[in-house]
Amino acid sequence: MAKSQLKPMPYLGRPEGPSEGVPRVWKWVILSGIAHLVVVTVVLIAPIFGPKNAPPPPVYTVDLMGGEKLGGGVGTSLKPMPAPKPEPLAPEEKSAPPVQETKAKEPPKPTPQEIKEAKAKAAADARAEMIEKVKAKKEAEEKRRKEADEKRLADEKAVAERRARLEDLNKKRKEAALADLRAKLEERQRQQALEEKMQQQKLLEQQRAAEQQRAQQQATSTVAGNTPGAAGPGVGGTGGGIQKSPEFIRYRNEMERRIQDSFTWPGLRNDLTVLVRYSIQDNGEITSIRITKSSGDRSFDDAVIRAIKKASPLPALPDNLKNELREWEYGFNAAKLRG
Amino acid sequence: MKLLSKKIVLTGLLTFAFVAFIRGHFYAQVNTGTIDLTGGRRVPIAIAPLKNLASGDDARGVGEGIADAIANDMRLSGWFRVLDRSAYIEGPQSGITADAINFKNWTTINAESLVKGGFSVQGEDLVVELRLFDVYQGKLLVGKRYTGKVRDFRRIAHRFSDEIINQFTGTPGPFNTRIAYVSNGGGGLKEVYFSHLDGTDKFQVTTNKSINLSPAWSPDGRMLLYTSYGQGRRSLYLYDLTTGRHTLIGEQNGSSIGGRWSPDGQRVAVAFERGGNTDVYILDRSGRTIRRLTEDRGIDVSPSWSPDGNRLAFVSNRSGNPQIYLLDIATGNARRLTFSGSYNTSPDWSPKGDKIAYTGRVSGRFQIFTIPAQGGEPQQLTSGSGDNEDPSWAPDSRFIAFSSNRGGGRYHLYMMRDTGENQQRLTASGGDDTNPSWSPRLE
Repeated sequence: MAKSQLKPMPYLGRPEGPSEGVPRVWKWVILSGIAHLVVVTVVLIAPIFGPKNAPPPPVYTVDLMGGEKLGGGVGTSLKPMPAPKPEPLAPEEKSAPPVQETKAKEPPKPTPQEIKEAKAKAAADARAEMIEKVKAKKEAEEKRRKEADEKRLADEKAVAERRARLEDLNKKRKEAALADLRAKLEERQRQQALEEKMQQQKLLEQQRAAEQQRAQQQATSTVAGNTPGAAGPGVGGTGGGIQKSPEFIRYRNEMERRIQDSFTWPGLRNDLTVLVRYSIQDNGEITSIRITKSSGDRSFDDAVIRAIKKASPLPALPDNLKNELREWEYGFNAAKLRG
Repeated sequence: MKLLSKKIVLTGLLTFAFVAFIRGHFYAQVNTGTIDLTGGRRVPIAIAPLKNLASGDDARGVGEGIADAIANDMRLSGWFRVLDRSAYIEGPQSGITADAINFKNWTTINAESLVKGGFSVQGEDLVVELRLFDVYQGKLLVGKRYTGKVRDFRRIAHRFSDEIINQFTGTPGPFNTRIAYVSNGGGGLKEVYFSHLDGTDKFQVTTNKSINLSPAWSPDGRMLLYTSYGQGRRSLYLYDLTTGRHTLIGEQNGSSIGGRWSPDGQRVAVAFERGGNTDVYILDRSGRTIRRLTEDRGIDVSPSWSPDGNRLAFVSNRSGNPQIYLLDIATGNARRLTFSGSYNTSPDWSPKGDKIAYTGRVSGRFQIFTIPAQGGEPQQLTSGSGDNEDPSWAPDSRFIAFSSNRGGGRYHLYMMRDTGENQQRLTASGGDDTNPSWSPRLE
């Protein structure tokens, strides 16, 4: 079975004869060369040909939007978030009426066949009737033709005008759309910058609060402060340095929030950490929950497992992130809120 | 040049994105991170009435009585949210072991922990099995079998309550204990009583229709010291729970008040008034004076032992108003502990040794405070319009009992966490319940 699969493809087969094999291989090499060239050129040049000031391709935009911890305290239900994707350029093309359509509306022109027939008829008549009659008829015909020509000209003029108008409109619309897009992009960038700034500030504040608390705790051994129970921004793991998409972060935040909400433990210690590995199935169910490193306090370990089981099922995994969101290994810290 | 570098960057990014896409597509990577989880949150617990394992009727209400007692303890602890029994899907005669329990019936009502058990009564003898389950893991956390007398079924319940708390906090709870106190609710002037924390199995210690004060447990929980006006002057008595005998101890040519046992049970510290001067003395078990500890001209009262038995906290007005002082027994040196407030009394040293609870006056009202034993900022645990007095530590140092007339009218006993949280009323007699003393853990 395996052997038959390994058989070389016929068209690239061993040259059976110099007269046949060589040209065939060359043909393919050339074709493949052309194909490669086309692909490379497209890849290299395509971005340059885009309209100036056009938004960068979607991939980058989406990635750049991903500030960690976006939507920190998202609400209860993780609805399929409207991922901030760039406005597609497609609508412009659709909204502009195609030029061909206007052509189709032109009045029907007499076909050469018709003209020929008319001429033949006129000749026959001349032979049978008087020349004047023919003349008159010819004149009449000419008049008619002239009129038709005029009409056609007028029509064409109207069509041209309409086309010009349409093109103008089209151009205006395109410009408006572009301006709109540009404005949206700028707005988004502004928001992103703001969010990042706020995030940084929050982090700083948290740090400051934590330090202050630590200092306080050291100063007076009475512990009665409130530790901010919020999750620290969990550092994305082995993503190879790729920033996580907002959708990823939203899902992760929702997961963290649900586990935090489900956690009940009367314990008083805050020096415990348990490491737990688990998987999330497509339907959001959390499975294969196992402790990879115990905290040493069984009641805390139990409480964490309980919280994870209680948080299940999470929202179904988004289609495009199934693999990214599948496997987790989280450290759970006991944080003291009350004495 | 600029265009070229742009091209290169773009190509690089595209390749990178492509590689990332391929990676993401074929290898599900493991995401890592950390979550802070806040402790001290109430665990939803269901406590099912016990299954009758014998054939007879449960005429004494043991099955529900044990469940009720555990439920009340869980509520008093503040660590559990007891789920209402009317919501339970499984009846009391359903299975009581892990393989016989349908845990879905319990997750449905949002229980995370479940107590199930069975009992059998034979004459006066009682056998009880109790089990605590983790509902989400379908796992037995602890199971115990108790044998005893039917009349002690509540003690069995309290013992298992402490076991549950041990499972969740690493330290047994404070419920298999007793609380001694003074009440005028029984018709006499002020008599000494003791009961379980929940007020059940109440026992009257003194019946002399006089004024009896300051009960204090021996370290083994078998004896009580109290001060009585029974003989016309204040005298120190010892009550033995096993024999039921009251013994007058201590010097007779003066007035004693507020005796406390040393942690090793060999000595008693007491305030003794002679010739208009009240000082702290140490007596041996038979009541002979071993040593006079204070000799100043002020009033020195209310001694309380440190858990190592080397120091005493006491109240002295030597500075002009009552303040808490700590005295080193070996050297006899005393240093002042409280500096804020002008009226601080009734110290009780925590069994853990780190804190001292006391009553302090704030804007005309008495409130409960704790202060680090090594000195520092006091923490006010109670507030409000009523008076809160006479703190007494639980043996686990996590709870404090006290008396309060909050809400107007009578004094009742309360308990709270040593943080001041979860203040819960314990007694509801018709009189004033004061002077609580929390016993050590019982067997």
